[in-house]
Amino acid sequence: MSILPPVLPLLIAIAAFLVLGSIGVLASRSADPMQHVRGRLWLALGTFGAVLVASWVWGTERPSLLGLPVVVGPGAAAAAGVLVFAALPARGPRLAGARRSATTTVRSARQVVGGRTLVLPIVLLDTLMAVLVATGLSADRTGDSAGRAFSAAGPGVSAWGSPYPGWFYGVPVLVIAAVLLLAVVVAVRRTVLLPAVSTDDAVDAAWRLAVGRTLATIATTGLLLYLAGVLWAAGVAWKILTQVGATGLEPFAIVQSIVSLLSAAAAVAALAVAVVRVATLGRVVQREPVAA
Amino acid sequence: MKLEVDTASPVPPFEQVRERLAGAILAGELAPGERLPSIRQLASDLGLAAGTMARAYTELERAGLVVTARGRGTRVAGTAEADGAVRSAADAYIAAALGSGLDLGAMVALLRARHS
Repeated sequence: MSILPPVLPLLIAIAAFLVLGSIGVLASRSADPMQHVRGRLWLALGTFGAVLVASWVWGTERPSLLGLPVVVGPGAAAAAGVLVFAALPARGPRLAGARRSATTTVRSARQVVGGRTLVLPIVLLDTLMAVLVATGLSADRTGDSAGRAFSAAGPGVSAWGSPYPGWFYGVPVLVIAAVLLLAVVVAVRRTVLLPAVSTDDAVDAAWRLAVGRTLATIATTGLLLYLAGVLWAAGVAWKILTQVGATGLEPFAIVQSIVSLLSAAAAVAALAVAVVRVATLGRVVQREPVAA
Repeated sequence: MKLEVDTASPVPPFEQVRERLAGAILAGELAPGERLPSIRQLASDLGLAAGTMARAYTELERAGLVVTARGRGTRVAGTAEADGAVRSAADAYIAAALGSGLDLGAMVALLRARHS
């Protein structure tokens, strides 16, 4: 049965969100840099949602793809969102007025991702890699379901569980995760070049850090969804095996299911944090206009 | 250091930037070895074309006030700062000019005329 009708309102809502975001970005060509960047971030979030839903629809409508689009979807969605932010012109809005001011303070990427901004995404990426290597090595290596099933055999019992996050799913996920990392680097470099919102260096640095944290949160959401999906798939495969008599897998299946649920909940929370950060971006600073 | 540009001024923006930076370097406001922002950063902040900023930096480099090296960006030249005697003379000139009712534009014009 097609799942398109139930998700249609969601798709329309996301499309409307994207259009409104685009209009906001275009309108802010004559507004202040803050509005312009907020429009770009809304657009990034909209792109994230649209790609996530599209990959889900694509994967479920095409069973022959064995769920690959659904699996790679979260990271691809986060990378697309971050790249949309980075792809828009760095110069931003036209500055109004004839008198403009700037400071000679040199900006760097460290200002945008200073402190602990990237700690969580990096820890998640490392965890994801470790889990995927473990599941990749433990997956079946022969047969039609090589790289996407897990087998276990006991005394007089032999069974297999699928889908399992072996190399068939793991390699594309790792590639997309690398693309996501690259996208964040590009977006951070573009953030350094965004026009200053204030000639007060501390104010401008606080605002740039807020933008960097929002981008990192989008990446975190994608990675958390990856982790949730990978652990859930492995947990389900192992649970199936325990039901047909395989022993020793039950504790792993339970732990993986719990961590998977926690990761999914954390992903939803991270997305909510990203939305709140974009909505409150203007409150980060009490700014003075760059253009007089 | 704050850098201001008036795009309505008859003085081209690149010249305003060059003049402000040169003045800050000679006055010691920007220390030798201090790194200047990238051309793209300044162009973005001032809403000007990157070519405009590049021209200002090129002029400063030609005057020996800044040095650009790949990977290190543009920095104030080590010997760029005017020595104490020149700065004292400049201070005395400004005081005398202000006492005579000259504004900044007139001071600069007089210096240019004397220099040539």
